[in-house]
Amino acid sequence: MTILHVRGLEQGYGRSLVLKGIDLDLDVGLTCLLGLNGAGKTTLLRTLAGDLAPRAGSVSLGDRAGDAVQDRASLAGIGYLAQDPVLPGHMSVRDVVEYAAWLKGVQDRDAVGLALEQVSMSSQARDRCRTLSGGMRRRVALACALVGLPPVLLLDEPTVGLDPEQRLQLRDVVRTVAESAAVVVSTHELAEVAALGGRVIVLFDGAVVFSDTVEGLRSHGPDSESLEAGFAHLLRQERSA
Amino acid sequence: MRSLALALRASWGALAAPAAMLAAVAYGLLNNGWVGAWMETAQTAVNAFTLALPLIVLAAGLDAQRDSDVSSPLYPGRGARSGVVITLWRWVGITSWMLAAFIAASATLLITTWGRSDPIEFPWLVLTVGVGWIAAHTALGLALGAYLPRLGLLIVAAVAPFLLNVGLAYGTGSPSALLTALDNGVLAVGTRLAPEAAARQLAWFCALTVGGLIVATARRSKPWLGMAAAGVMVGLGLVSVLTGPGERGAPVAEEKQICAEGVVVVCVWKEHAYYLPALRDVTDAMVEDLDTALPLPDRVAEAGLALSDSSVSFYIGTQNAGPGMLAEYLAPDLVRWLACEGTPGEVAVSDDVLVRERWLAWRAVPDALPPQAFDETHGIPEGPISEQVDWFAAGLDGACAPL
Repeated sequence: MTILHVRGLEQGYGRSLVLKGIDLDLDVGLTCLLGLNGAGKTTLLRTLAGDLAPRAGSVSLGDRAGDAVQDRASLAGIGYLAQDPVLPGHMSVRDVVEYAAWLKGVQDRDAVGLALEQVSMSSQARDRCRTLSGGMRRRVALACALVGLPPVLLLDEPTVGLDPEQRLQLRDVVRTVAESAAVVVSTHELAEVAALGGRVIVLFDGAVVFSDTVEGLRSHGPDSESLEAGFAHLLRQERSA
Repeated sequence: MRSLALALRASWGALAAPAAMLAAVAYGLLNNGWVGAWMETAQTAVNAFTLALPLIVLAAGLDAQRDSDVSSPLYPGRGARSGVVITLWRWVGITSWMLAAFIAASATLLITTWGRSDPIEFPWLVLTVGVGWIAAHTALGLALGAYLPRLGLLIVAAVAPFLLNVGLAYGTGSPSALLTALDNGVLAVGTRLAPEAAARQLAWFCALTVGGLIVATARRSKPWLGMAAAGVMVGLGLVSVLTGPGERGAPVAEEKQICAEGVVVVCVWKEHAYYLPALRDVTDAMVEDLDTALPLPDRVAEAGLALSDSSVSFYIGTQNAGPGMLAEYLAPDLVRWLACEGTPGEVAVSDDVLVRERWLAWRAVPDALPPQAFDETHGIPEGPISEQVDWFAAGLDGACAPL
């Protein structure tokens, strides 16, 4: 079931065009958004999250008519975790997630507790954000994105800066959420893609140049030996084109 | 209620409000706010909170900046709430904290001055100035925080409130009633607040508040609207300054006076009825020996009350005025009247005049003036009262310069 439809999406800063006519359909499940630095991954996620107004194209959520990034009710159905989330240090963990729930218009009183539970932060609910480690902060930010169980979850390089144990925990959370929502994980690390699995979308120079499974990317290379080889072959093809 | 509770918990006001209250308390202590009369408490509370206004602006600005970073999971552009609702929600949070601090500081002042002054009606209206300023300054802080970086906010938050309050509002020489906060001058005895002044003041508070909120809200979506709102506020201020001062107070009806018969009739505003017995005693003591030598006034009336042809007017300037202070207040006006024999005129300050003013006060309340008060001039005249009266009258000859 397709949850998010993106058609002809263009985005840029000043005169430079970063996204060049993106067409995308996101289903329930996990999608890795892979690309080199500067490929447009963060710009695409921020545009889908409503941070940036698209220059052209449309984004629609489920059966809802109209442009999702222009419609506040639709935006509430999209959870977004920024690359390096900033939390208000003077607020408690619970208050931050409750604040996020209020911003999204989430009415369910249990939603905050559930989100904290999903990221294993229930026991730190009363702690001030300034006292948390980097990994914990990222989990709190993830809880903010998860609160209200949005049908679309966009995660921008969520495992950067986490220790191995925290990475494993976060991947578990992401996989669980992906059972009932369309989850997009942006990354430039192939190891992360291999560990997460699911669908892979490769963004190159502002355009989608590949959309298939992890195995499909692996087999894209001449010898089908590794993801690195498949990805490198894809990039060579695109550069020569 | 959950939204309000969350707004309170999320706000920097939780830290700033206690600090603001402490600043107000410190101001009160340093400026003898605690020992003053409770009629002055309202003004002291408002003035004390002027000191806390930069803190209020800063806290509101930090609230606006709290989630303005696009990396924040609380970035408001992504939620279902509109920018207007979010700005109002922030404003309610920070304003509630600061009003609580203001109420606490005012209550502390009231409690500590309770019963230490005269039973004069408390000017509650003055407290609304504090409420208005807080509402306006939190909106101003939200607007500044939406546009300025952290360092810029720190600097402007420290400067802007003083420009608004000290430079424009609180100075008695303020060029405009619109920009002038109401103070005790408006509510002086015998004066009521002019409705026009109240309306202008309210309009200015509303313009600052609504304008600030519009500017804060327009940051993301409609910068032109913010510019327009800021322009309207500046324009209002300029119009106010250019149109000149307005009348802030209007006299109340003279039926509000109360009089007592003595050697002469003594009249005060009803609000000062408390002073009347002491004032009549002072007046009687001052004039009872003079009436054989000098033309006495028929009536001694508090400033603002209508005068008869033969009356002297004086001003009760401070609360808690005991007989000694009343005698000191009354003496210069009575001396001027006697010197000019009831005609319009001025008496130049001189040692001769000064010692006679002191002699009058001393005669009414011997304990009121220390002996050295006379040593500075010619000393207390000695001898029978008739000789003293002659000395007094002789000193006033030619002292009056007709207007």
